[in-house]
Amino acid sequence: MKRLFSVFLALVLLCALCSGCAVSNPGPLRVCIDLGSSNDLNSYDPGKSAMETDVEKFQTWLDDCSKYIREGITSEEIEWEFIPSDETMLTEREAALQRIRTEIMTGGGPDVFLCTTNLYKTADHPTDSRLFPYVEKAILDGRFLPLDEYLSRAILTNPDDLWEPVMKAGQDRQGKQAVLPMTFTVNVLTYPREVLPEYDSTGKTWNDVLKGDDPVLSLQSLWAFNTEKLIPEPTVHWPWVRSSYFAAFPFLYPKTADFETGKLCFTEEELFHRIKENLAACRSLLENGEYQQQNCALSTLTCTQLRPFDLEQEITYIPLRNETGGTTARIDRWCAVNANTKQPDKAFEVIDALMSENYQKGGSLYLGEPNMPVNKKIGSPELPIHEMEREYFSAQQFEEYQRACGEIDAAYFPSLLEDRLMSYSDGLIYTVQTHLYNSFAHDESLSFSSPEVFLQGSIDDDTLSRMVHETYEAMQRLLDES
Amino acid sequence: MVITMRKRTYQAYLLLSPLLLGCVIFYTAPFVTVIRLAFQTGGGFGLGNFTVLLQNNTFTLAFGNSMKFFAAGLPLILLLAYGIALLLKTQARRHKLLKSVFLLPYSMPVVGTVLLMELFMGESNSSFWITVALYLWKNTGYTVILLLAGLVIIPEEQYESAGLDGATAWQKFRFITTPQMWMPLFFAVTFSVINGFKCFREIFLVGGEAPENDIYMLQHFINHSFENLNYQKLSVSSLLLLLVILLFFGAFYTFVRRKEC
Repeated sequence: MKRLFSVFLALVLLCALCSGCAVSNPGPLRVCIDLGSSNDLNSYDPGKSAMETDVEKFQTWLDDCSKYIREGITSEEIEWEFIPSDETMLTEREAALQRIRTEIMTGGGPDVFLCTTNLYKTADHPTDSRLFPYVEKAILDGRFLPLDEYLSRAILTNPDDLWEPVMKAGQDRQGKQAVLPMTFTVNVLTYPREVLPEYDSTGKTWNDVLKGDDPVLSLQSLWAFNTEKLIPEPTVHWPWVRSSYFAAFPFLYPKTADFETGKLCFTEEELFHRIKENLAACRSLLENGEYQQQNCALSTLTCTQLRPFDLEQEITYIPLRNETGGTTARIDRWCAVNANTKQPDKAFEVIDALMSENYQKGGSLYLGEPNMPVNKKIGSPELPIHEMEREYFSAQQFEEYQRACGEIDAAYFPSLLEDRLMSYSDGLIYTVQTHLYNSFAHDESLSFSSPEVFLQGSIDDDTLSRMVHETYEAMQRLLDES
Repeated sequence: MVITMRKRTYQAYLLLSPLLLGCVIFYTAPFVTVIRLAFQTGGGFGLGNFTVLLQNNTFTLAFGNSMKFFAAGLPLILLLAYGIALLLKTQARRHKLLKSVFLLPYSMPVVGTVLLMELFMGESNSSFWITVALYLWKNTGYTVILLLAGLVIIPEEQYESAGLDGATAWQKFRFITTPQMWMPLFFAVTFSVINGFKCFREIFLVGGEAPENDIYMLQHFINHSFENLNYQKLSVSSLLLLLVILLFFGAFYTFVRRKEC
């Protein structure tokens, strides 16, 4: 009797233990969204967060598209997963990231990722923890499913319409498209056409900028650091102009690091000399005062930049030169399919919908995204970016935009490495500029990024060398940990 | 009789099977996953990840710092704890409260310890030795208790008998105390190593995610590898650490068993 009872008890315990081990079907398609948007309520529909409203609109659009999609995935088959990014939800964010990373490690995880790289540590975003801190490394490690075969069969997306140099950043070692950049940005000098009719800077490098021979090109040296509005109040043609609102230092390099070899793409000495040369060029420009004669704007090319320009205003764009004679694009938003997914076909349907021309031009999940969609046709009067407001180029402006983007020869996904160069909290550029600011006596009301900081502030080689050394070591450590 | 014993053994294993199965699922399976990830390279399986990691300067820094921490901290804590335990041996039974006092640093909340660390680190450049000092301060009492437990069970008659034969204090220590203290010492070393790894909590709270070079520990490297989804690095680091710990404890345990024999 005792023996029977003990055997029965053991079997019951065994069944209880194994009850959770049933083989399950894949379940709904999991789409993970980390777009860094605030989860403030009432931004759109009452009682819903902005992101939830955007997703609902995407679901409606997806359902409308389903008749065009082979697999016919509908919104009911999708489970949306938002990673909190609001400053009041940091603990929830870390917990969500931890959970997803563990799932990926054990061969699971969400099926589709839709992420932003724009998570700098600022007052609005006190965390810089991205789900994929190094997207390029994740591509090399095979975290994403190559999509070439799917793209060739795509119904809504035409890969030929996408900016190729930007798309190339999302390719793996074998040249297969693992990540699809969705939006990007480049930096441009913008002139009224009547001031500068034409300017061909093709092939000019950052070294050419530093030489200062060309008064037009030399304006770009202001981008090395965070400089405030230096251009005087413009003529009636320009409602507003602005200088760079952040230091564009990483854009000067085609790449910051080679993740395959685990080395940075420049040595410590090169970084030291680059900062020194940039500072000298910036000072030279400010000293000779010629910049004050220029009637132009230095800015990041985003779709919100288009609003102040009249459609009648003809413009000339001069993209920010990099070291290799082209211009570097920064990728801000991207999507990909998890290599562990059990439903690749359905996952790609969502990607196809996100990357489609119609959705890129005005989809709800692009609302609030200021940067340019990767579809090169969008922005023209026939295909405006957002239909809400006038956010499209005139024919001449669009042609100039296409010419500027045609000079893109490199694109990168911002990571912690670039943050170490330029972030407002602990970036090298910011540290140098802070030293300049504190190195001379001035009124407290003097702006941190005013010309006097560069003209009167000073930094000796030893101090600069120490700062560069600390940054370089920190960057190398980040790279070793990646 | 034999058949009854066999049946009882069979029943015992049957009743243990749910627990054993749970251990397999929740311990062995993840362990096997880590081994698989460590040896999995792009083209199959091999030692490629190990080669890459051993050439990684940050890993060697982290590993070296961790080994340096134990190389400095372990002997010091054992010497200190053993000395205090020997001094306390005669008083332990009379002043039981004394044992509780020694556990106070161990039970001190992390916040208090961190504040202490920050106070000293702000005035000094040697974060590594401050970390070792913290480790000693926090865990010596705990180790004293472990060693004291081993000392008090040694029969007093042995010391008295040795004393009658003219043995000196050193001879009593060497020939009576030491042979009977190897196993308690082994446990003290085991718990000291465990407590040493727990010090990472205070180091992390003071140094943050990117501490100075001399307190950049293996746990920092492993944490960042996980955050960067580099599971191969994480797995290889963990396996190398396990290897070192197994070698150390294997050798020490063998030594202790020989001494006991």
